[in-house]
Amino acid sequence: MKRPSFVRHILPVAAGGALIFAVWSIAAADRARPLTDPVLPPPSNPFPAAIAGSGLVEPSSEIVAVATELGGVVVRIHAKEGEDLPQGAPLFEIDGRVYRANLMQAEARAANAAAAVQRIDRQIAQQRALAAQAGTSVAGAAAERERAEADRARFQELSRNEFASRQRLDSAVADSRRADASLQGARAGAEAARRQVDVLEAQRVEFDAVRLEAAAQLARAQVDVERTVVRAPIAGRVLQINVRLGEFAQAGAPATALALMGNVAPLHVRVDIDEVDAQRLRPGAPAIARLRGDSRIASALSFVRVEPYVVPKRSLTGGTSERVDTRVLQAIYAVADPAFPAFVGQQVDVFVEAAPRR
Amino acid sequence: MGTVALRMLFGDPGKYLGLVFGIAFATLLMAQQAGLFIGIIGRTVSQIVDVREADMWVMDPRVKYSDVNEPMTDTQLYRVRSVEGVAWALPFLRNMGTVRSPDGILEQILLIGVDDATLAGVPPKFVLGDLDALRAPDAIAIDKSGFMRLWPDAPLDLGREVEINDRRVRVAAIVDASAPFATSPVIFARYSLALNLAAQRRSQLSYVIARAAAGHDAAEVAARIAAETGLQATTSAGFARMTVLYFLRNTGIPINFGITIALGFIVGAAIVGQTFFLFVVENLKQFGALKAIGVGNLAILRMVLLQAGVAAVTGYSLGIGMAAAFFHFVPRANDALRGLVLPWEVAAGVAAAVLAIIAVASFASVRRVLVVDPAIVFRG
Repeated sequence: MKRPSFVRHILPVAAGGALIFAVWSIAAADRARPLTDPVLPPPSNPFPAAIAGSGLVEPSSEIVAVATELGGVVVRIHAKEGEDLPQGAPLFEIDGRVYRANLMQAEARAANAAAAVQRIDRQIAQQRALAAQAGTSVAGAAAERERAEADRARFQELSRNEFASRQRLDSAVADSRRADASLQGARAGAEAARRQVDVLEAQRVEFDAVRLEAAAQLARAQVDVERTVVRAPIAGRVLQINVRLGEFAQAGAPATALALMGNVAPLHVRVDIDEVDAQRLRPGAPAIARLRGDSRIASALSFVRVEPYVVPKRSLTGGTSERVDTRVLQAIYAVADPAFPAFVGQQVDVFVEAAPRR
Repeated sequence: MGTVALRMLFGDPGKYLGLVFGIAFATLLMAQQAGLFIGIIGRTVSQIVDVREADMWVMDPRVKYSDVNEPMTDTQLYRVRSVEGVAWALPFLRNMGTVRSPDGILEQILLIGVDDATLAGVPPKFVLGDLDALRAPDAIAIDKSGFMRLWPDAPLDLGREVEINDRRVRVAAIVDASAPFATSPVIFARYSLALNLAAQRRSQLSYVIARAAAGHDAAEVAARIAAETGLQATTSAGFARMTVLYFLRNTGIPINFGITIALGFIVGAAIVGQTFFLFVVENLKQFGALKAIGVGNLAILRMVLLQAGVAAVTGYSLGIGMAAAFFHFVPRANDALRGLVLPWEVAAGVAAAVLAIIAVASFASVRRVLVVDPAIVFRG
């Protein structure tokens, strides 16, 4: 056995080994990058040709931001979020003590005014009686005057024939004049009594107006008391309640609505369609909404309407600020599947069947 | 005759080893440099090939390569989805950012935002954590070497917090992403989170990634997307080609590597040619003797070719073995070279180059043998 030679034995073996290693190393290097599928199926278009858009789930009534006409501290909350309420059901109450006190005050005022009218009615009746009494006094005075006048005429006749003393005649004349004056006085009294009735009647009109005003104020105070209970403006689901006990509910339209309501049967989807695709949209074409997060969950959509005004698109992709980048046509569709597990405000991916291009 | 030829060859170990190692080092130099070149230039498309789900990329028409993008409006995603033959289309955000931490980290990062629901575009290999971890709030995935760059002395773990664009994020997963061309850490996040991490711009959608429906050719669908939307659409391979060509045209990388590879070839050819020529010349007496005993020119030519071939095969095997060892062990040990491999195309190309070298050398030398006078044996 000869000693192994470097060039005859070691070098070829080393070279062979190196080549085998190289072939193995190259073959073993993982360079294959096959196409894989995403872990969840992305939203896919089921139609031969379609318009895709992002949709926002909303109630079929759109979202109703409930407002209160009276500002005040919230003292009671009747409704719960997620509750389905009939129209007019109470949602929450603001502190109504002042308004109830106002109501009592108004009630008192109304009673007062009504009593005043009654009082003046009685006064009128009394005055009428007084006027009637004055009328009888006039009749009495007239009779007395007739008698005094007859006496005077009689004593004038007698005194001309000097059957009666001059003094007696003078007395009869004076009597007659006094009876005249009495009659006039009685007549004036009767007139005054009648006028007094007119005055009272005029006053009654005035008091009646006061009574009506008080009644109106009462009605208003009642409305205020009713307004302290904020009620459901529509039949639907309570989507959000943004007031809590003890918070001040601002009257008017605050930036954050006090409560949100909407009719969720059926749900609608508001689809944003890029303005450049708008002309391809055919009203009534079949459409499908796929849930974000799992596009296998889908529902057919039925066409409701197209909003005829193209609006700037609101970026709802989660950015911190709203950005306007393009304008979109908004089409409204109704969710056909009542079991479609979407919530109001959720985004969905929508495909609407369209005519193929060209 | 073959045995005689080999005896001649091995009888002069100095020249034989010179030949073998000349070829071996020419092979090593060419294979190593070519492999590095392909690996480095391939890194420019790492973020394209890492998106394994999509076979099409849609972008602004002005985009020339993957590093610089012009964001599109959000609705372009839906326009791409509307095109016939598109199975699906998803948003893809690519942005540069800065990562900070109170304990002294300040580093530029490559931020990738992927669709919230499907998370398509995250590399499939996870070192720690899993894909679902990205669904948590403020969760990001970082590539392994990025993690080691941010926390050089720490073991790989999850739950570390950093700030990107003044937002706190938490490392929820570590992925094995292909090395980017620039050495920035690569951070993956959900699209909605990435929007908040990226600098605010009017539009944000960097790319739309899409897949052609079954039965549709990706190139055809890409052409249709381009025609219908006015955007630029290409297959993943096409986009990678665009990006590679951009770097080839606009950087000095190909020239640098080209020079080294050419030097490897020239120096290898010169050394091998010269050594082989000397070997043949020194053995002219032996060839003369063979001719004198009646061996024909063809047999002599075969002998020379066999000698050259043995030297070439041995040298090439050693050289390619060394190159393979370099690509096998060094990228595993050195993170800066991770992901580099020796493509078989390079090995084959270098073999062809060695063949050319050895052909030139043997044909240059064999002329002397063929014209040698057998009487040379009897001269001094």
